[in-house]
Amino acid sequence: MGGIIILILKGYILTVAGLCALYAIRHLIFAYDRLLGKQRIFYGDIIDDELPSVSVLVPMHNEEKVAPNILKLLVEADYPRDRYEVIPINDHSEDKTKEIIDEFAQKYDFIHPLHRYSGKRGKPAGLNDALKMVKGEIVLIFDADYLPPKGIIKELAVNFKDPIVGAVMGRVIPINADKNLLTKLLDLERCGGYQVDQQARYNLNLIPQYGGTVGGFRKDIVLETGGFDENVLAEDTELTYRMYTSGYKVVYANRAECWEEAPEDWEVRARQVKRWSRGHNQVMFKYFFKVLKSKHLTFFQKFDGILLLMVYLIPALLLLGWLDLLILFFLGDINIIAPVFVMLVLLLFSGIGNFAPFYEIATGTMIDGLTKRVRLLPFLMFNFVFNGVYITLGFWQAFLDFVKRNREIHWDKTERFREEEVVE
Amino acid sequence: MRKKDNLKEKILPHRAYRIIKLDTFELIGSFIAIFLIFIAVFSFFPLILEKGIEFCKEFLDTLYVSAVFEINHRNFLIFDVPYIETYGKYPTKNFAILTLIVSFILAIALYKNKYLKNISMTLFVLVFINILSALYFIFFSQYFPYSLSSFSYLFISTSVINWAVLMFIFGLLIAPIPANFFLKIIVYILISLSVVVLGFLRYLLIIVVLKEYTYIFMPVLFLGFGIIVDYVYAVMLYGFFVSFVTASLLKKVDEWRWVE
Amino acid sequence: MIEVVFFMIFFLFVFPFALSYVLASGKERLNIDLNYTKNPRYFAVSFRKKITRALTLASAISKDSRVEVQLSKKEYIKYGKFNNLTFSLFPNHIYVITNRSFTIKKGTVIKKEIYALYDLIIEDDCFLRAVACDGNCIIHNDVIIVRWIDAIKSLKVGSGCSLGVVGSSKGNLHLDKNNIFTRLYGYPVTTYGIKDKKYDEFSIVIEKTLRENPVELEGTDSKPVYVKGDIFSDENIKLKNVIVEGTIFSFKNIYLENVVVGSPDRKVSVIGEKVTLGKNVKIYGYVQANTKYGKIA
Repeated sequence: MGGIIILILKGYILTVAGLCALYAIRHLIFAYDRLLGKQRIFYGDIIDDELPSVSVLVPMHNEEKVAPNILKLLVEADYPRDRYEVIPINDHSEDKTKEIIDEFAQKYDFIHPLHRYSGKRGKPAGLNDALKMVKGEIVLIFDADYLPPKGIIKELAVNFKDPIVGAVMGRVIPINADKNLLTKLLDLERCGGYQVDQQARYNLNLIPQYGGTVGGFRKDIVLETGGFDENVLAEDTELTYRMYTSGYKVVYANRAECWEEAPEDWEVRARQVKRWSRGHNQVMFKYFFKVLKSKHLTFFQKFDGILLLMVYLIPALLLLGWLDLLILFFLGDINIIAPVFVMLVLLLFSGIGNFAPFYEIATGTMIDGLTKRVRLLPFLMFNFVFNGVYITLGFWQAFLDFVKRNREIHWDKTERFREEEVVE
Repeated sequence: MRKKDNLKEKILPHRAYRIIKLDTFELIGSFIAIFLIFIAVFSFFPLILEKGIEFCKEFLDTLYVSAVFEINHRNFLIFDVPYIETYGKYPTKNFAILTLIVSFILAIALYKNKYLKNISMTLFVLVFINILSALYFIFFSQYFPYSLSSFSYLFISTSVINWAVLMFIFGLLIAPIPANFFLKIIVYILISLSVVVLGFLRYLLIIVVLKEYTYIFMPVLFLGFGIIVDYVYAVMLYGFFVSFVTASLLKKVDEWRWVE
Repeated sequence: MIEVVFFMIFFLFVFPFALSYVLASGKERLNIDLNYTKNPRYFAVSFRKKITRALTLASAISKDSRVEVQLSKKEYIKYGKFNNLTFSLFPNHIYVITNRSFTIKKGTVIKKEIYALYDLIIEDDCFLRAVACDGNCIIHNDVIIVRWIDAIKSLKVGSGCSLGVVGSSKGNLHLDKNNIFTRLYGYPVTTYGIKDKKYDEFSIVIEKTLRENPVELEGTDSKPVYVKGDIFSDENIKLKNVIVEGTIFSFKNIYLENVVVGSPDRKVSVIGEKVTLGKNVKIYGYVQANTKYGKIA
């Protein structure tokens, strides 16, 4: 009996180490591809007078600090006015958000506000309500704290001229990157995650991910497939997989850059990571077998799709792995496993790094021309453990959601920090 | 068409369009050179291990005048791994209880801490391991499977794999970086050296801590501080190298800065 | 003993983080231009704006008609009527040429930008960094433009030329055989052997956007294929005797011969990894290939 237990423990370590190795190889391929490989042409380079009609949705809940900035910028967007509308979604706000939105709506006839004070709170519910009134064929979404440049609407919308494109994702850059250690490290993660990871997945025709903001989708596809699932916290990940399993593609538009506000507080970041993990793992439970069975995906797309689905599961498996190793250590049965353990620990830091491992980040900073921040790479080790703890908590929440099908899900909004007026 | 090379040709493209241009021969050359260095160092592992362990023994001899340290050898994979044999000490029950209480308090403080939470959560995980170790020594001390000697062997044999894997990974990472060939070789050697030297320093520290403060800290030293430190140094040096290369890339590309 | 232990702990564990943190200090942020919107004539427009502003702000144009301007670094502009000797006398100046029609003589090498306020002719074998022309610009054969060339009224290019990163015109951009380009913009862009023909009949009419891998369409001289939408492909696109109302986009190669793309009412794009334009091609708008993989065959 004891022998079987030890065999199971060792088998588990080997399995997790193998998974980590897969991720490490995957990310190494991405880093090499971005650095040395052929970069795929961008749809965003298309210049065409005939553009699709676009509706820009901006979900807002108590966004009085940031709402004026984004609305001002959207009003100045370079897009034909007869094919453009902006729908700020006021979702149960208790501050001056409503007044600010109404002020803009009075001045500009293409701003059509949606005020929600009844019904379920949260982004997916808000988006579903907004989809009923959307006129455009393409829906673009920006979170309220984002600062979209003038040309970004065109840059994103033009991707949809190709009929197989179902969704598009732009690049997110923290505006407050210099604020403190947390924002600097988040900036590094974003750099690696977008400039390298997403771009490489686009180059290699794998699964670039739609991130729910600075991006958009075809309205008809979402409506035909039942709208957003209000019980899934990561509606963006859900949409990505819905697109791919329906035969559409998600495009990553590296040139379509937009500023965001990164969390400046660790507690806020912890809640954000936990929410992402819960949402992403909800999608994993929903789509794991659908991806495997899909007729629309190539073998490599399925492979990459599964690995992407599991990316918020792995830290939970790893923490269990540490516990497993500790048990083996106390049992004195770690001699052969020790080298495997070494690889596990090394590969997890190099292979996972959550959103991008350190070498993807280094590659990203090289391409972006950032010289100082990359010296903070060793601190990512701490972020990895930090993320791992909260991702694990999020995973277990998602597991309970899966087991208890009718669990109530509450939307936890990320706190805003911006004080200064950014847009003149 | 003729080419004139005294005109600034390049317009620095926007970062979304940038790729790094590398000479294929230089790239292949880098891989080959790094691989050869890796093989050379790997084949010298037995000698490196011998010299390293001897140094550690000498250091420990000066530190502990009356204690006895011996170098022994055991076979591990294809190596004859030397290690230091000495005696350590078990924690008393009181010490284990004290460790448990202190670790528990620390764990709560670290979990509740709001500042630099990434660092405090990492320390929390390490302290948590220590809590489990303290509990083990309170209830199951008699089953503890290691002596300081056996742990010494375990540690050094793990380090061998550690160094090989680190050197392999960083070889793959450094080779394609667009830097001077010889600079890449130097950085690779530096990283490999730091990994090995720090490996021995870690080994020393762990023996000293376990001799002074008992086996109760063995799990956290092995699982927590063992491999991570080398990795952190290697990543740090890699980060500095990339930073330097990026700065020189920006100077090299002839650009008009208003063109982005 | 405890001092030794703590020293080693500090050196091994604290030092790398402390060092990294200190060396990483300082502000560094990726900038985004909130006013950015895609413009195929961006280089030329931006250049003209800066030069015009510098000339406007210059309190006096000095005796040797030289004005200072801040671009990526401090540069000098020579402003006025010139002859070809000037370029070799003052090789490090940007030239703003006010001659009504100016000809850059055969074999001239100019290391800085040229801005001609009226018409410009560039003779054979010239080697120029960048050219802006507010009038009509004619380039003869075997001219190399290193960065960009832009003409407001029209741009006519001989054979064997290389047009740098962008060759553009607000009016017609006409190219002869054997030219190399990366990006073109013209309204329209035309190639040699251009014929202005109207068609009443078509061999095939495709009513909407075509999305296939690969795409090969061939009409006849009198009955071309007519595509009312765009054409997208992951593979090659080869069109001969085709009219396309919309954009042509391929992740691989595009070959066009006897093709009209777009219309006077609609700007479109032709974008591929390699783009080869044969004879009688008319494109209203933008053409893009990977660096120097565009050619007029």
